[in-house]
Amino acid sequence: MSNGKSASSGPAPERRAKVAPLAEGLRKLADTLESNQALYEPIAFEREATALVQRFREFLHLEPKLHRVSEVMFRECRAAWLRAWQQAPGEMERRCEEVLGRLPHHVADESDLSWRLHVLVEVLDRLRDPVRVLALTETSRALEPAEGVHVEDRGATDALLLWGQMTLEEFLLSWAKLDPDLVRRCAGLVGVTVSRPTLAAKRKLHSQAVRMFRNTRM
Amino acid sequence: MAAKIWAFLNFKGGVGKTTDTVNIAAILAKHPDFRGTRVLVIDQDPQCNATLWFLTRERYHIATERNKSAYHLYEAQMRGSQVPIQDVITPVFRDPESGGCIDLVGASFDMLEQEEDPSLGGEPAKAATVIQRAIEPVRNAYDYILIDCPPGYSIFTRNALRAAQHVIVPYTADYLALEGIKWIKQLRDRFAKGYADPNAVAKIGGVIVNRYRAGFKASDAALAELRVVLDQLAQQTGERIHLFRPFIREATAVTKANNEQQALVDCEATAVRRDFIRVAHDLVNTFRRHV
Repeated sequence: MSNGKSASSGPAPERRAKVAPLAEGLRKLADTLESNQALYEPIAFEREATALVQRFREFLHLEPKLHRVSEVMFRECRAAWLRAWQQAPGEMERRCEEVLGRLPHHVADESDLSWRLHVLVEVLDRLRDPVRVLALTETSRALEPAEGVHVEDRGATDALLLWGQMTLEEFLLSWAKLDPDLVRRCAGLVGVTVSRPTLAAKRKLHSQAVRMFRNTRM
Repeated sequence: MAAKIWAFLNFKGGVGKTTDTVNIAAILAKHPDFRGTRVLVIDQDPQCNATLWFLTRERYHIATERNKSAYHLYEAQMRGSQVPIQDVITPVFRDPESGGCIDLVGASFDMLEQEEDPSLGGEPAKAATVIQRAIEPVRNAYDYILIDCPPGYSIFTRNALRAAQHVIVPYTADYLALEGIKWIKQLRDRFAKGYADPNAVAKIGGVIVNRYRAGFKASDAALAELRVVLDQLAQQTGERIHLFRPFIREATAVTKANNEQQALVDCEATAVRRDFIRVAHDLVNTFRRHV
C-alpha cells in the first residue's frame, strides 16, 4: 500500500483543481503508451512506463480515493483492464454497470481508452481491492479467449505474475481476500502444494510467483 | 514445389537441437507416413554432431578428405568464388522405390577457424548468405531442408537465419533454455533490422519441448513460464509461435540411439519414437500452407 492515510475524506476544492490536470495527464500518457507499445524498444517502453508510474505517484499523493492501491497493482490492473475491454467490451460494460450502478458519462473528445481508464479508477474506488478488479477482467477474458494463445489458465497465470511483483508482506496481506480456487490453480501451475494455508506454503507460493515473474520478463 | 527450410536453433546448448534435426529428418525420409520425402540436412555446428550421427567417424573422415563439407562453401566465399552445393553433399539414405532420401552437407571441425572471421575476408552481408545462395539451385530437389545450428550467434547461425524460413526452437524445461529463446528473438530482430525485406531473416516458427518429464513439478512450472513467454513474443511480433505437440518425453532410448548413431525411426517401437513421429506430423501440418 502506498501510505496509511484515510481514504474517507473528500478532496478539497484546491486539491481537486490540482488533481484534474494530473488525472488527465495520466490518461493521456497511458493512451500514448498503449497505442505505441508495438513501436517501442523494450527499454524505451520501460522508461515510459516508469514515467507513467511517477505521474500515478503524484496522483496518489493528491487523490485520496486511490490511497489503498499500490503502483504495482495499479499497473497490473490497468494492463489486464485494457486487455479485457479490448476482448469483451460488452461484457465489461455490463460488469462495470453491476459494480458501479451506472457507468460514468463518456464526454465529447474523450477517447475510449481514456474513458476505460476513468471507469477503472471508479471501479477500483468502489471495490477497494485490485485482486477483485483483476477477477472481473479474468472472467470477461475467459468468455472470449484469444486465438493461438498458449497460456491455458489465464486467470491463474495473471494472478501469479501479479503476486510476483508484490513484496511478501503485500502478498500475505492480500491472502485473506484471495479466491481459494484461484490459489489452488496457481499452486498447481507452479508445482506447489497448498493443502493448508500455512506461512511456509504461502511463502513458497509467493517465491514461485516471484520466480515466474522474473523468468518471464522480456 | 520449393523445399521448406527450417533452422533448429537455441542459444542454450544441450537442449536437443541435433537430436531433433536428425530424428525429424530421418522420420520424414523413412517413415511410411511421409513416404517419398526428400530431405537435405545442413550441419552448421563446427562440433559436427549431426554429421557424426549420420556418417559415423570413419565416413566423416572420408567426407572431409573429399572436401565434402560446409567448410568448403565458406572457404570458397573467402576466395571470392562459389562451390556448387552438389559438390559437398554426401548421400546418407536412398529409398529407390519411393524416392525418399536424406542428403547431408556435413560440418567440419575446420569451421572453428572460420568462426573467427565473421566477414569471411569480405563483406559481412555477403558472408551471411553463403548457405542461402548455395541451396537456391537445389531447393526444388528437396521437400525439406533442415539446418542444425550451433549454440551461439556465429557466422554459421546468421547463415542459417538468412537461408531458413522458420526457426524451430528445441527446448528443455528449464530457465536457461527459456533465456535462450528470448535471446533468439532479440538477436533475430537485431539482425533483421539490417534488411528492408521483412522475410529476409527466418521467423520463429515454433518450439519443440524435449526431455519432458510428465508429472515432474519443476518441468510443469517451467512449461507454464514458456507459455507466458511465447504469448508475449506472439504479442510483440503479431505472429503465432507454435508449441509443437506432443512434448517429447525423457527416455533412455534417445541416448541409446545416439550412442549407436541410429535415428529412432530405425529402432524398435518406443513411446519416445512415437512422440517424434507425431511431432514430425505437427511440423509438416503447421507449415503445410507456407510457401
